[in-house]
Amino acid sequence: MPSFDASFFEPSSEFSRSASISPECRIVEDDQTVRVPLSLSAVEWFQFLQQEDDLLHFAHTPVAGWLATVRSRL
Amino acid sequence: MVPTSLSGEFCPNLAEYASLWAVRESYPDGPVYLLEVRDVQGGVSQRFVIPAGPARVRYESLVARYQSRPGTHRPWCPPNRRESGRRLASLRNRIPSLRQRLSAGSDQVRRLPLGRVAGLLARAVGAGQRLQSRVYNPSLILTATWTPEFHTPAWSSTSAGEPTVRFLGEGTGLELRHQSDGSAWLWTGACFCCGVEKWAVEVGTRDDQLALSLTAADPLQEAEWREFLEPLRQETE
Repeated sequence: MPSFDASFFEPSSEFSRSASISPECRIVEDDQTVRVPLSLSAVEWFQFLQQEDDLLHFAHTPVAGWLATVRSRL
Repeated sequence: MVPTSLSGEFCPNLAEYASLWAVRESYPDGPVYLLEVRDVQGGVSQRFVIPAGPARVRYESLVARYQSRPGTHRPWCPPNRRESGRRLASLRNRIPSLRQRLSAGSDQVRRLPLGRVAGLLARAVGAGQRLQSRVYNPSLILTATWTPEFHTPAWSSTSAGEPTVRFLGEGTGLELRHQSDGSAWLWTGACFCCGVEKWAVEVGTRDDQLALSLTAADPLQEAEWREFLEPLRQETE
């Protein structure tokens, strides 16, 4: 896998330009993966999911997974 | 209010949610952006792939707003621990109870080779068999009613290099891992709410946690579902 810089968003992104991810919140796991822990409530999390129509959702178990497109329908 | 999907329902167990991560994975054809939920055991329980476009902009805003230092996550919400405990117990008890009934000589429970589940779904593709699938993990139960329309080999970053197959149809799908240790069961029993005899194929993990069930798409299709399962039942006699 190619190595890449440790920034999170793509260089063209508004958030990348403003460098809005603090280095102490950014975990470079390996040369493929960067993680940012998020702190939000269940209400804020569901509000985000409900406004999205086209996220691909994977649910995992050791033997099977389920995938579907999230739909903002209450 | 809980989000739903095109084909089914989310039933989250927030007491088992431990952390939420924004993830960027780099691939030769470009980065993939995700949200990842980890459960209290530290396992990945859900991932959401964020497509380019407006969703990505909202995602970037979410990540910028809610970023936190590791270990400083604030509580999701006051979880319903009693209900969570009840749900986890039912996921733990199902496979051992099937095993116990089989050893007691019940003719209503059959053990299946794990590979038969993929075979059954492949047959559903050919037959256009509608069914209900339910995936269980500690933090989520997902139900979908759908018709598998095709299947394809797949690879996913959480499958630890195991070969997998995906069955897809009606905007949803199911991924099965071929070589996982686990157990598969065909069993029948009377429904607790209506007393009607129903048939199910269920899969447990190597730790005997219920992970997947396949049942009739709805009660009116129980007879058709039973007919569809009949070759499997005969094989195990």
